[in-house]
Formats: sequence, C-alpha cells, structure tokens
Amino acid sequence: MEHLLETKQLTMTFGGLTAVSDLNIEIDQGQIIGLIGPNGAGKTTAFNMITGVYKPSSGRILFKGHQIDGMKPHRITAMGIARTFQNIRLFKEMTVLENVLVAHHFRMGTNLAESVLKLPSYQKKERESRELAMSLLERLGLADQANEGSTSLPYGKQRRLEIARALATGPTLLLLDEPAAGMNPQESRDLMDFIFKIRQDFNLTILLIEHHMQVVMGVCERMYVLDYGITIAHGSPEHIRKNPKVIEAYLGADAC
Amino acid sequence: MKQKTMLTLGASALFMVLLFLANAFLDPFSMQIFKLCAINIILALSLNLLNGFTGLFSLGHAGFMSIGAYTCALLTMTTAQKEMNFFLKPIEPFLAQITIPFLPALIISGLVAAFFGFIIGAPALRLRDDYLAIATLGFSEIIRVIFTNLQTITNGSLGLKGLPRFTTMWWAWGTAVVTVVLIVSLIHSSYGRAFKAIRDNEIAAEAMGINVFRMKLLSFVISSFFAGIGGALLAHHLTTIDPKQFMFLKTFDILLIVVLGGIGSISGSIIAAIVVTILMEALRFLDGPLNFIFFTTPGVPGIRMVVFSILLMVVILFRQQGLMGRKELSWSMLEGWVRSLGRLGQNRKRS
Repeated sequence: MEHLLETKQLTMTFGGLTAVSDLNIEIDQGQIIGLIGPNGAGKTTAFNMITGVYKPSSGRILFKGHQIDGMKPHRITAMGIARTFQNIRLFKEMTVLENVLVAHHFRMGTNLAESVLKLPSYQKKERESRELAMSLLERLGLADQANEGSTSLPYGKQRRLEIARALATGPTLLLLDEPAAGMNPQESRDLMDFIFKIRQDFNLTILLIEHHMQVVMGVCERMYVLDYGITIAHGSPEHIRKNPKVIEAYLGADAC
Repeated sequence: MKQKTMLTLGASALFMVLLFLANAFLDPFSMQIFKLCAINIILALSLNLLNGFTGLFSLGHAGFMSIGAYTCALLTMTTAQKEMNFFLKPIEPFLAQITIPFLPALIISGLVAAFFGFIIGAPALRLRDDYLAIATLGFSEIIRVIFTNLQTITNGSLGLKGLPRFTTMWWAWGTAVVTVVLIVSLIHSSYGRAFKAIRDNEIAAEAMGINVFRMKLLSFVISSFFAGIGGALLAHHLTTIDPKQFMFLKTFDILLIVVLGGIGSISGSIIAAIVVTILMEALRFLDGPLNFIFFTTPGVPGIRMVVFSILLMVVILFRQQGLMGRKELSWSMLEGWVRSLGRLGQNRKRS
C-alpha cells in the first residue's frame, strides 16, 4: 500500500554537522505519529525538510506518491501539508480573523484586478472566505476573539490560533511542532483531546513533535525517536518506553 | 455604519469644494506647493506600500521616478521642442516623431517604470533587509548614471527643458485621489493581507501557501508603477528635468515623509506628505540670513535640510512609529478624540 507520507534516507547536513541522517518515516492516512528526541536531535530540521523550508542534502520525500523534496514551501502547503511552529509565528499586526484569512489567499484564486476593483466576483469569494474562517474559529473556540489583535490572545489560545490557521489551508497532513510547549499538565491534557477531536473532524493525519512524554504517549499510535539526527528507535509507545536506547538518550547511560 | 458613510461623503464633498476654492484663489506660488503636496502623496504611498505594508526596505525610489519622468517627457514633447533641447547630439529619430496626449503618456510612464521594477526586483528581491536596501540604492544610481550618458535619448546631463506644463491642480490631485483609492483598496484585499503577512512573518506566510517571492515582486512592481506616475507628474510640474534631480536625496525626501507619517499607515503618509511639503517651503527663510536681534547670521543654503534631519532624529528617538504608527485615521478615532476633548473640558469646569 502507498503511504501518505514517506521519507527515504532523508539527510540534512549543515557544513560539517549532520542534523538528520537517513530518516525513514512512513505515515498512513488517519494516523497520529510522534517524532520525539532530546534537544537538538533534529526533529524541527525534519519538519523543515518536509515542509520545504530546507532542501534536503540527500534522500527523498514522497507525499501521496509525489516527490516533494526541494519544492517551495507554498507549493507543498497547496498539496496538503500544513504546519505550526515551535516558537509561535503569528502575524502580529493582524487580527485573529485576518490570520486565518491569510491562509485562504492561495485557495481563493482571485486576480489582482478584481481584488483592487472589488468586483462582485471578488466580493463573493471574500464573503465565502470570511464565513469559512468564522466557522473554523467557532469550531476551535476562538470566535469571540475574532477581531482582536492576535498577540493579545493568551498563550494557549495563540497556539490554538496557529493550529486554526494551519487547518484553514485545507491540509490532509498536519505537522505540529511542540504544541504543548509551555503548557501545564491540565492544558496538555486538554490539548490531547483537542488533537483527537480535530483529527476526527477534519479527517487529518498528524505528525507531532513533542517533549512532553505524557502527551506523545497518550495520543500517538507509533513514534520515531531521534538522537543526534539518528533514528534510535521506532514503534508503539509501550515499545518505546521500555527501549534502553531511548532511556539512555533521555536520561543518560547511568539510568539503565 | 450609515452615519459614517454619510460623514465620508460629506468629507469628500468638502474636499472637492476645497479644491475648487484652491484652484480659484491660490496665488501661483502657493499653487505650486499645493500641487507638490499631491505629487508627494503619490510618491509616499507608493514607497509606503513597499516599506510599510510588505516590509521590504527599498531605497530605489528616485530611480523609478526618473524613468517615469523621462518617459512621459519624451512622449509628450513636440518634435520642435525636442530639436531645441538636443543641440549637442540629435535625438534618436524614432523618438523625435512621437508626440502623444498626457493621459496615455502618464499611464505608459507608470508601465515602463513598473517594467523596470520587474527587471530590477526579480534579482534584488532574493535579498533581505539591509542588503535589499543597498541593492535597490545601487540600481537607482545605475539608472541615473545611464541616463546621464544616454545623450541621444535623455540629452544626458543637459536634461530636458521646456516640458509642457500639463500637471495642473486637477491632474495632480485627481491622480493622487485615484492612487489613494487604489492603494487602500489593494491593502484591504486578500493581496493586501498577503503583503502584511509577509511583513509580519515571512516563514509563516510561506507556510500558509503564499508565494512569497511572487508577492514581493508584485508589491515592488506596483510601487514602481506609482513611483513612475509620480515622477511623470513631477516632471510636468517642474517643466525641467535632469538626472541630478533624481539622486539618492530624492528617495530620502520621500522616505522622510513615510517615516514621519508612520510606516504602514496610509493616512499618516498623506498627512506627512502635506505637512512636510509645506514646511519645506515655509522653512525656506532658514536658508537666508537670519536676524537674531543681537546678531545676524549669514545665509547658509541647506540649513533647512539640517532642520529636517534633526526632526527625523527626534522622531526616531521619541516616536519611532511616526505620526500615526500603523493606525489609520477613521471616524471612530476622530469621535474618540472629540469625546476625550469634551471630557477634558468638563473636568476643567468641575475644578
């Protein structure tokens, strides 16, 4: 069977440093997969390669059977991969609603002339886009703050807005980069429910980077563990929990 | 909502009346400045679209202005006028014959400037921040040097004199109003949102499916278009152009307006364009001998610009966001001001 996303011997080197080496990930439709590892293990680098921010040094990335490595990020987004960022990257000077609307731009298919002259064809698309964005915000519980500045939101909601914005691009695969960073246990538990819910509601496949072991163990079906760019383990949460290599990477050799 | 539409209509009518009055009663000197205000509004908005809304720091505006100015001048001058100007070397024969009306010439100058914006932007926009600023500055200097040396097309450093005085009050302000309407409409469209997204966070904008490079190039081309239009209007306002007018200082003049008004505010740019243009003339007395009762200083040409530089430094130090920041003047904002003034009055009475 063809996988939704597949990376083959994916490698990224920066000068003499190999950030990720020979990464082989396979994700099928509807799964929630975790990508974990200590700081500097190369998790975000892997994300950046999949979303086109970096061009891999070697290896291939296949999405829905198409080779996407080396493609521009906006084309990859258009193909159905959306992402959030570890350090929140909202459009600071824009409102919550506008943040979501930006994600619609490439899907609206308006041309410059009709947008500037505000032709009926543009107004129709704009109206539809706004309705779509509002209903999305409503589903994610952000509708009340739609017209507030995006940075005036509390931290947890800013994370949620990042996810809303990613969902607005209409993805089949969602990459979440440390969604639980900076959250307390209660918020993390809410986040787990939230991730399950959006997978159901939006028919998503999710690849998740996380430090919070509780979050990853709770939601992921399978996970990949990276350490210094090398995949040291791969399998179900129970399997990973007992793997001596993983324990060593996280806690040091003495803990075994 | 309805009330605000009425207010806007009322303000527009008032503005029309003002234009009529200005046209009828202003003396020729004040008229020159009044027209210059409109031209500077066009130039400031086109630079603000780039610097304020797309977050691209470009310093090449004077170059695109000169392209617009020369294109329009060469298209509208009559064959006889061209012959008089080109006495060192004759003009290229195909250019000598062309004479077209002002409106098409104005639009063509914008398009030619936009075309050069495309050619220059395509390589330069791969750079970021200050590198982009240096590259665009370099390009605008290159354009100037080329213009100085294309003797048979631009008449070199002699420049072009005796251009038809096409830039009337109506042309200047008419074009300014059209520019304001188009740029405001652009900013409020999905394209405008894409521009602002790039300004706020380029990487996130890309991840939202926006073709960042294409959008930057689009913004650059549109900005060049209006710079060309502004340059063309300026040429037919001054009726004399030469390459030296379009040195870096010209870009600085426009940049000053954009920074003072607020990078990323349309109404800020408009207000600053008017204020700065008037002050530039009103402060002209500074260049002459000054009488401080006890002593008199000899006239130093250029002191005016020193005052403006100090003004710019004060703004950068104490109010970096400029006059308006990124806010726009709106009826609700004015309402707020009136309210707070009213409250102030009441407090006075009570105490």
